[in-house]
Amino acid sequence: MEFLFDDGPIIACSTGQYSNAAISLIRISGFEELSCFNNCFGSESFKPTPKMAEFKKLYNLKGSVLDEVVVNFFKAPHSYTGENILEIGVHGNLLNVQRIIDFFEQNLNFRVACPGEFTYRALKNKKMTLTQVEGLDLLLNAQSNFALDQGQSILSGSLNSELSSLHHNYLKLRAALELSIDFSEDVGEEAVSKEIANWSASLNKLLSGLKSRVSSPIKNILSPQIALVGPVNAGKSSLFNNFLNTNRSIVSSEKGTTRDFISEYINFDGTHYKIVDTAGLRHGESDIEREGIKRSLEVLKDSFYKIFVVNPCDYLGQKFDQLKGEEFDLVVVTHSDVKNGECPNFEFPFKAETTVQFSNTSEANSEMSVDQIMQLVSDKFKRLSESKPILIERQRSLISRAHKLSEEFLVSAKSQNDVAILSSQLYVLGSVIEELVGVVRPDDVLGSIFSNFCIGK
Amino acid sequence: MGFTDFDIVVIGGGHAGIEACFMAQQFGLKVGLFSMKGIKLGSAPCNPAIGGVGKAQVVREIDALGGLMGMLADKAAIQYRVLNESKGHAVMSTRVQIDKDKYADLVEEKIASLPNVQVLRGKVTNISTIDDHFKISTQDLGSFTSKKVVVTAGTFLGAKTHVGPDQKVGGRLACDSAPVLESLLTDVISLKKRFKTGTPPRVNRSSINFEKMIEQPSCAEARNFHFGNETHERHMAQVSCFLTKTSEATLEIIRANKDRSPIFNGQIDGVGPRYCPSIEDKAFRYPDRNVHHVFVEPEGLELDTFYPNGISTSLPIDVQIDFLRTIEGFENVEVAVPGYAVEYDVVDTTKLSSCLEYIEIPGLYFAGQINGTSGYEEAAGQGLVAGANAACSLTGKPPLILKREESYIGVMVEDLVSNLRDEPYRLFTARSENRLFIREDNVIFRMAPYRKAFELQKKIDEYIDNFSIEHQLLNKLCEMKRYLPDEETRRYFSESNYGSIKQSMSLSELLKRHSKSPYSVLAKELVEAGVCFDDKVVYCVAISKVYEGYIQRSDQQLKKSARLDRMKIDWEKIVESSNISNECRQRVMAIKPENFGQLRRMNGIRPASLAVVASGLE
Repeated sequence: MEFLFDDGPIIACSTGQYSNAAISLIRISGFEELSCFNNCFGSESFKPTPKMAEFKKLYNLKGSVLDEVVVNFFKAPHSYTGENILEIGVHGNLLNVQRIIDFFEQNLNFRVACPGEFTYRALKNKKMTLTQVEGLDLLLNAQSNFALDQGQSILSGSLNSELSSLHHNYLKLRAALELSIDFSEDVGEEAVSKEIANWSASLNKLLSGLKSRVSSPIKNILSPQIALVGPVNAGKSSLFNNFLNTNRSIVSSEKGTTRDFISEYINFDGTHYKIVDTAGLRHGESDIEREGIKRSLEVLKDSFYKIFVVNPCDYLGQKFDQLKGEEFDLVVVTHSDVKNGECPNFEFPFKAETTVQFSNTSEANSEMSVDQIMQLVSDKFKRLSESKPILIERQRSLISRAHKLSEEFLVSAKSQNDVAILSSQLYVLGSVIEELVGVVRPDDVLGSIFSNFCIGK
Repeated sequence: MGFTDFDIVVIGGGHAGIEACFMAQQFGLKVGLFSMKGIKLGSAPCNPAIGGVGKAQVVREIDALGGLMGMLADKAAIQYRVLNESKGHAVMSTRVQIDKDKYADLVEEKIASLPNVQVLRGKVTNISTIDDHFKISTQDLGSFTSKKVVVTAGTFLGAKTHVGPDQKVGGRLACDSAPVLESLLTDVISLKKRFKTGTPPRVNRSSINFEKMIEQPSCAEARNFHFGNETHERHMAQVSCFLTKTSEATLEIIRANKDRSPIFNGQIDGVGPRYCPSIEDKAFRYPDRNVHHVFVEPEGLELDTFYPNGISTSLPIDVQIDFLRTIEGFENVEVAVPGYAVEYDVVDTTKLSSCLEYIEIPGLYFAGQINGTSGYEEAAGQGLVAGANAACSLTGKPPLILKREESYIGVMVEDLVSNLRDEPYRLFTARSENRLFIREDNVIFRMAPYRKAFELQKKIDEYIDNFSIEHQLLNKLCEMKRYLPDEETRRYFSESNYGSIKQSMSLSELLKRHSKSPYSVLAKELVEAGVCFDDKVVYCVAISKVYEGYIQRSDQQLKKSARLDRMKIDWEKIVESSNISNECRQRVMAIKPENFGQLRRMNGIRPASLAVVASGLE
């Protein structure tokens, strides 16, 4: 956070910086006078109208044209950062962008912005609250429509107002408790006890509501993962390929660090899912096999949608003890086209929501198409996100802590006669709530928030 | 005797003034105490009671520091009460009703017995500085010089009383007033607004129907304030207080006469105490509540008047009588003295140091209601601080600055000097962050280092020495004495109602287990063991054990927030910020907070603003 105290002009490219593009946007913030750009854009003095895009030529000091650009001036405080901002749309060749930034850096003494510095200045100038900044972080790094939506909604300040009402409720409870100590003679014991009971119940209700929104693992929402697990030769890899073939929109490919599993991203209904094909489970005793199984189980743990794949032709009554206690969303019984006669009586040590007969080679012989399976996945994801989970780690852990303290407080309020002790308990809860609304020190939190930003935002 | 040159002059003979005077003379200095003619020293113009939640702790702190109030209160007490008895020892507080005539007589007697003190009855008209001393001019006593001056003028500066439309100059009903602050002290800055306080009408004993009220007899278990008194010793006959309540008709009469109320029709523009509201305030601020408690308190054993606590008022006398007679038991009540409000000048306490010395005029101190506080105890606590500091400074001793974490007086002084007052300041326990530690029982332990720093050899100093030795011994004993869970101990535990014992346990742990009555457990165990300790030591050690663990836990939290509170902030930058609300800006400009703690403690600062400032962004 070395930039905390330096508020001189900064410059950065705010669009992608890793590949050539048609247009790139360079942003400059914090210059005091427009006159610092004199001679840069042709005419001697540079006087653009705020919020009006203008086509200009950008010259270097020798008077030769660097690029043809579109400039847009935002006058302080009516800008993203609350400072004077000049946005320059340039041709998006990486070399070109770099040359222009170098030009400003060397000749006008602008400093290249640190990651998150534009947003930091917006926060500093009260253009955004801390919660909004966290929302922006979420928005910029979102992997799903849902995370995008939540980022947007936090940006608009809705979570902030929920937290404010939590803080308000806490103050009411605090006041009621203090009233009971210092003014119970004036107000009357009965009235005071009622106040305490009411406000502590409503505080706990608010916290329980928030708590339910942080109880599902954050990973499930940020990067939802589908796991294919099953014995060797069950048809997992064929199913995996089927998923990829149906959904042509493969985003990227990620090799496992070991050869135990491979994963791909597929997009369905606006959400990126990571689908993982794990190593087959065997009854192995060798170290390597045990290690493989351990890793498969880890993948399973991180996945929000779990598919068990089994081949009825190859089922010899294995017990799959490793999967004891697991809960699968779907059991896919493969080879439904080649299977003749009865399906063997599977005995699994785990629970399963649904079972489908499936053929990797013939859709006609399958109870469900791959798309229909994906629909099941998508439905589950929607159910998860309907509970409006809160995704920001700092808030999640504070909410959990506050909820725990609030539960403890409720218990003590019933058993503890010493109001001063009760009040000191509430004080601890209060400090967590204060932290939640953002009363924290810079070194506690800002560093970690801004470290997630890329340069230029 | 008759000096014209004093070491210290105290102006005002109220609860602040007498403590300042009493402290200063202990250092062997020549003290002059000015008081208005016709008003007794240490009189009680309002509630005839001393102590209360938070305030009792102050009375005991005064006592342990070598002050007067606790000793006088015990001697004049006619009813004892323990407030918050069921809510834990940390917030339990003693309150006594005093015979107010007896109390003032005791003060007169005590002050007259002090060889270094001269009492001067007359009005001070001006205080000015000449070189390194002060010149005090009076109306008809001539002029005096003094090295230090402590101003404890209470509600008398530029004071005006109100009973309905009837306005008179005076700091109390039928009393004179002191000059306005600007003419008394040309260079001292007053708060831009005046404060207001009020008192209820006094009613005649014979006109009250006590049958209709709930009797509150004196509590025999309540513990005396003064270290030198036996715990439950009583010096006067004990009488009862009575509890009654207002009726719907009471509030209706008041609401119907809003235009005749000086605080609502614009006649008074001084700000009243929010935490001690008049009955008019209650009527209009809580339109849905019609039943308010009224405590009917005797003003003395011989006196015929009662003080109806909870209905201070400045309505015209005919309205006062009308609404009084709607209160249960007051159907035929007769008014001896009407209720009234008083408006007075207040010093800007942010110009004072932690010694209560006016920073720009060294040697000039302010204490008591003139500093915008309410209550005898608050006044007395400040008087002691100002008097002791004036004396310490003259005798080359370190100043008396009580830590906020260790005393309510410390909390009060810090609040006063670091915050601009916008209403009269009343002390209560919520003002302290360290309530679990600042208790009545451990007051000697808490105050000992401060008192010992004066290096005086009085009775209290001797007592503190003995207390400290016994305290240390008993603490050690509690750690060392162990109960082993053999057959005999088990039987003993069940017979004593100590619960079951499974493993070896120290006396300390046993006390923690009995958080409700640790004192009786420890007292009993000591009798069993055949050892004898000072009752106050036993009481202090027993209760301290209960809180040990809790104090440790809250200490951690305190440290964390103290770290944030110490953070320096730049208030000018906060004011410049374009997104801050106008109200916030006004307040920040007025108070000029230097660190985050001061900002946090200000009224009307929203968490959103705090959040931004905390993040170091302003």
